Amino acid sequence: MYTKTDFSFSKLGNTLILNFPYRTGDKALQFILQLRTDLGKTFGNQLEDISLSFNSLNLFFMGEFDSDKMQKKIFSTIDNLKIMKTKKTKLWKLPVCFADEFNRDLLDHFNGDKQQVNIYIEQFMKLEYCLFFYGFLPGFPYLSGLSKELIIPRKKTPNRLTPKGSLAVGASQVGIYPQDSPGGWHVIGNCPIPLIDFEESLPNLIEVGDRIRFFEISEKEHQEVLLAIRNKKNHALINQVTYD
Amino acid sequence: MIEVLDPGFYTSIQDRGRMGYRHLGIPISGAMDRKAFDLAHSLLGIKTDTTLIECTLVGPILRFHESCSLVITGAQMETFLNDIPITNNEVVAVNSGDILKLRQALNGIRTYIKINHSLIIPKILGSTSFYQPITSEAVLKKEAIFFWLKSKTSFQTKNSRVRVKDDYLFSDELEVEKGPEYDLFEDSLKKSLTIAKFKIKSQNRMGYRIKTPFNSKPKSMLSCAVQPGTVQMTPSGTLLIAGMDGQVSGGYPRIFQLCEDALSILAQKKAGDKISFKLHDKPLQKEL
Repeated sequence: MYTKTDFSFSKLGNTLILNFPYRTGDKALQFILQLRTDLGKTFGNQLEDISLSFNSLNLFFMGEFDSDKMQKKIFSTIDNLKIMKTKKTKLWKLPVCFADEFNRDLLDHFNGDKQQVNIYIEQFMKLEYCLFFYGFLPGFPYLSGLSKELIIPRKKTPNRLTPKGSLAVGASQVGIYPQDSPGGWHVIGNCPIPLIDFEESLPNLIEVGDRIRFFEISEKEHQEVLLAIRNKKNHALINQVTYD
Repeated sequence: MIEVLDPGFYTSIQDRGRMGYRHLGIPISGAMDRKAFDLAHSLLGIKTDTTLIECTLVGPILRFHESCSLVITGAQMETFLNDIPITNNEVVAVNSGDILKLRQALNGIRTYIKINHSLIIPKILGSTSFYQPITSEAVLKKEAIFFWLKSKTSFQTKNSRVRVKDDYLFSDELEVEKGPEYDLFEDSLKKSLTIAKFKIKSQNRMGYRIKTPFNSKPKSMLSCAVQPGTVQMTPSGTLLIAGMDGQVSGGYPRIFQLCEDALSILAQKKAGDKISFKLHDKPLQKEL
């Protein structure tokens, strides 16, 4: 949960940034999501969009704005905030392949010690993650829930190509690359299923606040799923991307 | 109808941008040089339809299969209508069968072609701006064909009285505001950044990379919002300035934010050009 004293403001062009300390737990995220909804109502069409990060709400104004006035409005929104009874969040199960070709970064990080790689993956798979926000690239999910022992700092120099589907760790954050892209996070595996298909009308949209667990698939299964997706066919493993 | 005979180096369709999808990680896109974009529209007297053609470094060769009026703004390229040289910022009448040829850019790198009809381009998530993978193409392809609506969108048929101010094309000074993490940087570094000139290492619509000789202490931070014109500094001293297709969040401290005009100035610079930063000093960060 948050109180008014937790918040501070920064400005980035026509964007007003509402900073708050990152807190884990459902209650904290519920508060922030409610605040996002309420601020959307408060400012209406003065805003182009509101985006979220682990420790900020970013209000993109359509043009220049009066900072003092907006900050007063935001505080009054916080004062009047009531958390609505939330619907149950979904739990998604996503396949991930840990074949050698997908976790070279991890092997580098552990100086070639395969056993440490396996221990890392084992620990990683035990955890449940939460989609906190989308950012970086279209459909790139930022997941919270990584335990402290599994934190891997960003690479000193980003690499040119992190392949599509890469499941990666950047400091305390977990993400899945929706497309080939330069990237500075350590790749630990590959998820063959695109989280958002922008050509479809956003069918499988994992929503902010939803929970995610990973299950391991073999290299062969990974290939099969990729092929099925490319040919727009179904596959038993795609059907396992379920939620409850 | 426009037929693309030669697409040029990097030519794309852009409009004002794809609004309202940053929360899904989708950049705003749209024309890189907003001053040239606005000028094109005001020269033709167009208020509603905002789709135009953005050319980079070397422009396209286009054949027109219907008559129209058009205006070219931004960087002056070697431009010919049926092999007769034409200049920017003047409304030009084009007849059916005419060939418009834009070649080497002479004083900048981005040039805009705006016609007085609405080009029929599918809107994806509310915008015609090319941005892969949201749109299927990133650039115009050879032999591509674009149709337009019959009705004119323009109020003008002659050179208008709009004042053209394109001296920004010759400026290399970027006015910036303090970014949210400005205060985390050492004073000596901040001072140095606003004194020297820096060479642009590479650029594209995603952003500009500028190498500085400075190192900043690495600070691991959570990823946070980035928008066009946001200047992040990496520990090894590279400045990353987000362009219109730039990523919507980033993990490096945001030292500056470019003012609006500075974005247009930068959009006309290429790798190897030098720029400097001028701090626009008004209080921007408020702790309450």
